Amino acid sequence: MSEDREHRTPPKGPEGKEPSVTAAERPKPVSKPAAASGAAVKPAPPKKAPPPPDPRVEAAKAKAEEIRKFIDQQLSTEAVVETGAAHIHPMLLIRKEDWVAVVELLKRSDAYQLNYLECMAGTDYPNYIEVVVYLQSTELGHFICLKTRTDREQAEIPSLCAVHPGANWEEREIYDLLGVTFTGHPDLRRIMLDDDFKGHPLRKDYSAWEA
Amino acid sequence: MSLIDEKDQVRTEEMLLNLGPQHPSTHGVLRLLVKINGETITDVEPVIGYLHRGTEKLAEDLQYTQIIPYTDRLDYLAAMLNNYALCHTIEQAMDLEVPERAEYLRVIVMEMQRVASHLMFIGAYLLDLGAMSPFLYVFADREQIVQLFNEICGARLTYNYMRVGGVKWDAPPGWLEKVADFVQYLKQKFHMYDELITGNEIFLARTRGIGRFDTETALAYGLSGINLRSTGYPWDLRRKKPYSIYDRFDFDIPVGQNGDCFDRYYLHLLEIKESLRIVEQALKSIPSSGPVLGKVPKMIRVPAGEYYSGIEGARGELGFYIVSEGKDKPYRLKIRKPSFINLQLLPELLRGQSIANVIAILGAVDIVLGEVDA
Repeated sequence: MSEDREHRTPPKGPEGKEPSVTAAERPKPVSKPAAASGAAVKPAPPKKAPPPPDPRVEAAKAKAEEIRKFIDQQLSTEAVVETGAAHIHPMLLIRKEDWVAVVELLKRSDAYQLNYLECMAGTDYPNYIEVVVYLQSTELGHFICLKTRTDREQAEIPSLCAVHPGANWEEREIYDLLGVTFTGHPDLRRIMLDDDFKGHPLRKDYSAWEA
Repeated sequence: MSLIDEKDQVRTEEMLLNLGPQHPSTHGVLRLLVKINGETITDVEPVIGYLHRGTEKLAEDLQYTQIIPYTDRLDYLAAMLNNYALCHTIEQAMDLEVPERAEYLRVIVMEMQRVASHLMFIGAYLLDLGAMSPFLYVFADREQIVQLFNEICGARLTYNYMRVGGVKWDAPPGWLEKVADFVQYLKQKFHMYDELITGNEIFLARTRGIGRFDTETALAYGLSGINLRSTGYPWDLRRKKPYSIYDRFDFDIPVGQNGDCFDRYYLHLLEIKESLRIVEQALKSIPSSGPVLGKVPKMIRVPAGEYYSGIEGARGELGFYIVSEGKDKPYRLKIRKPSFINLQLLPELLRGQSIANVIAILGAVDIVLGEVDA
């Protein structure tokens, strides 16, 4: 089996910062044995000046922070775990328990009206499974990215079907291919694969031979 | 005394009707489990996945350029648009500049592709409804587009024409003139289609007021493309989130009024006209020479992070979501498949309808199973 199929370190955020991984989960930096031999080591080449921050990313981060304040006010101060930017779009990491409440709040609120579920995807990371939705306000033009995370072993996330009926098949697909159980989903069955299929192929540790 | 008057006393039994997966009107391999009571549909369950090839999983082991031919096989009636959607997302992520001539060539092939795809819809839809000849007419016209594509990239269906940062080949000598001739030809043909189909009384009886839904439902279900616009909502990503060079062209976004099957048919026809307008303008302003592939690193590595961008495909919003670790292969690639999402509404549309309307409603949703199943 190639190395690519093994777990990889989580990808870094667009700003080069790691997305919130607690200290325990964070992979340890590789120690450099060469540094110990002292004089033989060539001096490191002068580092390039870091590129200037992208104004679009800065704006996205500011907006994510603004939405966080709104959610803090309306719902609970614990709902938003982290804010940042997903490329040039505002990104908010939501606590699993508040997932449906936050999406519903942003849909119903006059200030944001995020009424259109544009894309929903699940990704398998080494220590958790992440579900991300991109929400669009068709009237006001806001476009944001919301995320939530769940444990890999007992992957379970509340279903968005009651708020966005369009999430129905998307969640079935994530259930089918990544093995995330969406609680409260009206019809959670496999959609792409056979009902008696074993395993969830989009998981990084899936092997067609072992299944 | 007729039986119909005594409707309450006629004993009906619930019956399960299996439609597909190998049925000519399912546009591929879609299976519908239809519950009927008499002639009325009580429930429908679409069964999909017969064409599932695991494109998203395969992409995780492929370099970015290697993924492009896989996108050809999603919506195989609009492969150019699929090519573009992937390249566009990668270009956004890498902040790449695309040369002018490449942008124009892209727009020309994409709009020609939209015309070909919409023509195919009109032909296939009329065939579903029992009209044979429009299918033959559209195939003759679509063939010309396919031939033009064959000249520019050597393939008739799966083009693999776009690259990250531009296109693979420049137009061969005389190609742009041929496209201009074709645009003029199809503009005249357009009236023929309009007169042949739009006013046809049988066609109107089969499609007017059938399979209606409103904007609110469409937005809640995440519908996009003509399905959303047929409800009168002018949502077209070429305007709402301009990409490529679409902001330079003058074109209209036709919208429907009733959100029924007829509107969805008619919008396909009107959009052909708008696409031809865009091609015409692009042909006028395309630079006469220049590079068609930008300065792109030999090995394409998307910077670490996650990216999503969508374009207006032939069937709705086609988007790619990429999670990258900064390597030459994506960590995760997810396709926002417009057909897949549009098809979700089908059970809602069919419930309570007569069994005779199944094909009319299914056909107008305009799905391609290669994309639904991915």
